[in-house]
Amino acid sequence: MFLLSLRPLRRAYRVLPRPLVAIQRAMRVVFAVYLVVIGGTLAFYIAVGLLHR
Amino acid sequence: VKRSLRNNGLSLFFLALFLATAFGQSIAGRSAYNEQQLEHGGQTVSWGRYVTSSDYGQALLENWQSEFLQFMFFIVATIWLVQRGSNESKPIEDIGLESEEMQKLGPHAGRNSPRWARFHGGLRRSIYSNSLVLVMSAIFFLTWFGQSVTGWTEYNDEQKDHDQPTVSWATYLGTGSFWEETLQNWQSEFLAVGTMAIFTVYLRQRGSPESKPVGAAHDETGASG
Repeated sequence: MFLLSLRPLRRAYRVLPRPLVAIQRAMRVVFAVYLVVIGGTLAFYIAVGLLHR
Repeated sequence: VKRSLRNNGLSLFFLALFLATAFGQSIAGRSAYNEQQLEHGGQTVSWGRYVTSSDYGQALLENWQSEFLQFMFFIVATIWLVQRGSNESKPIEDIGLESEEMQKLGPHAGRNSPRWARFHGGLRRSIYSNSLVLVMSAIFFLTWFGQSVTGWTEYNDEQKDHDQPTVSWATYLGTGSFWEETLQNWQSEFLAVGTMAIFTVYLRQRGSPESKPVGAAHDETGASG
């Protein structure tokens, strides 16, 4: 949640121009998507294996 | 949106390739699985059932674990080992963890440095200083565990098909089957990394940061083009 939370972005907003905040936000979203894809897939197939499916 | 796509093109391109190839693998895997089922007088399965099976999970995760193992080893090995002339290596004089100044830590951190890098020591700075290898290692061990439990289920299914007794997870970890599936993936990763380390000494790709500049000398180390 830290990655997508607005607090660091708000802080950055005070010191960075608006386009840079948008760029940073997009980068964080891509990073979070990777973590979710990897973490979700892993959790899912560990459960599949443990449930003997 | 267009600018976001351009700024994140590399990550998004490979994410799209991953999704497309994982989907392709599921189609081909289901076809092979169903052929085997028919040969053994078993029932065929739907695509939905196949992608939620241990067969598909194992095929996916046994490749994942070796990729993350490769990164884990490469990240750590390149701290202490060098390859003179390689784009994948740092210069010999930088061997080790490097100075606080080189790593922009504590008083050497810049205004836009990550917050945890600005600390003058402590646990948070240590964690952040090793966060890349920590996360890669966690993913490696979890995927390897995932491979083991899905492989175990598959192994026991085959045992049942042949009227053989099923085995515990710990017993499965000692089987040749588990280690063959593990090592056949590891060996290819290590060869690929070693190849990249030595090939970038003598070979070039214009415009790629994975290569030195075309005109760089063969003994120039770690100079991305």
